[in-house]
Amino acid sequence: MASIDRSLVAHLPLFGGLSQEDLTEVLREARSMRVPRNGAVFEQGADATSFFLLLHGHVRATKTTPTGDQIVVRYVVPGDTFGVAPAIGLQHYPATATAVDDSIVLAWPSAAWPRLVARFPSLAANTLQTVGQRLQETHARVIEMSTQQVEQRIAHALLRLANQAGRKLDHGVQIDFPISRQDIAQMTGTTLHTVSRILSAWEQLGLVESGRQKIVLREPHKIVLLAEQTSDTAASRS
Amino acid sequence: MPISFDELVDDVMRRRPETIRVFLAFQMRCVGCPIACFHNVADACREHGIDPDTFLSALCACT
Repeated sequence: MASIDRSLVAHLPLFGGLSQEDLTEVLREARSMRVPRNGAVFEQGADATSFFLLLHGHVRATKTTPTGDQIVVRYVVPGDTFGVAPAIGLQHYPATATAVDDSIVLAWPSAAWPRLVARFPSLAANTLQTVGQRLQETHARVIEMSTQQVEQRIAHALLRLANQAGRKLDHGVQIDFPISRQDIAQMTGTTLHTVSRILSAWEQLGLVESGRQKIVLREPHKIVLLAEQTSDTAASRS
Repeated sequence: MPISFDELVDDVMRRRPETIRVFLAFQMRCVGCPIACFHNVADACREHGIDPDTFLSALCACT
């Protein structure tokens, strides 16, 4: 298999502190895979045989509850690691990873993780940073879920997506991968009906534009204001 | 390089952290804002209803 171009990945946080030779060594064990849109990279509960780095495209991580509800845990953007089960002591994947765009991922066998980390400790330190950042994001969501009105949670979710994967257009900021109202509902702990109602209202106010699988924040500044209003002011407005 | 109207506010604050004070003084919400990487100085002034020339001179004065 053709080797992976070092220059494509050398700047990524995972590889910070590695020399060029180290990086070549780490990449030698990886293989690159194309995952078509809507293809699964791995399924929740399956044996964690590989861990991954997203090079191109977008991947959605979802968890399914025993009662069949599906929750979007996060969106993976290029440069992010995912499915790093061996690093957190898991033998099975804790969530399902599905490509939402045609995507390219690098995959390493899980068995390589302990060996690579022993040789290149900065891989472990860099991964710890990433895990820490994700924990912070999760904390932020727990706080949103516990303290905010659904309107604010949706505003926060849209801003998080825009910040992570936004593209500036003349008339606003587009979330640059296919995302449905159902996805937003699953990110914010609410129903499709509620998301539709709120997004339609925002659309009428000219705040957003939402087509099939596409959302443009036309007035991102106003959405920030909506996201930040306290529940007192939200209540007094309604 | 001097600060211009079309520089993104995120870049302004990163490149010259001393400008953060000016954003706060004008009561702008750009500090820590998730969309700071999409709005330039002119956009931010428009959104906050602030005179762009006054704001730009304040930014330049502090650097």
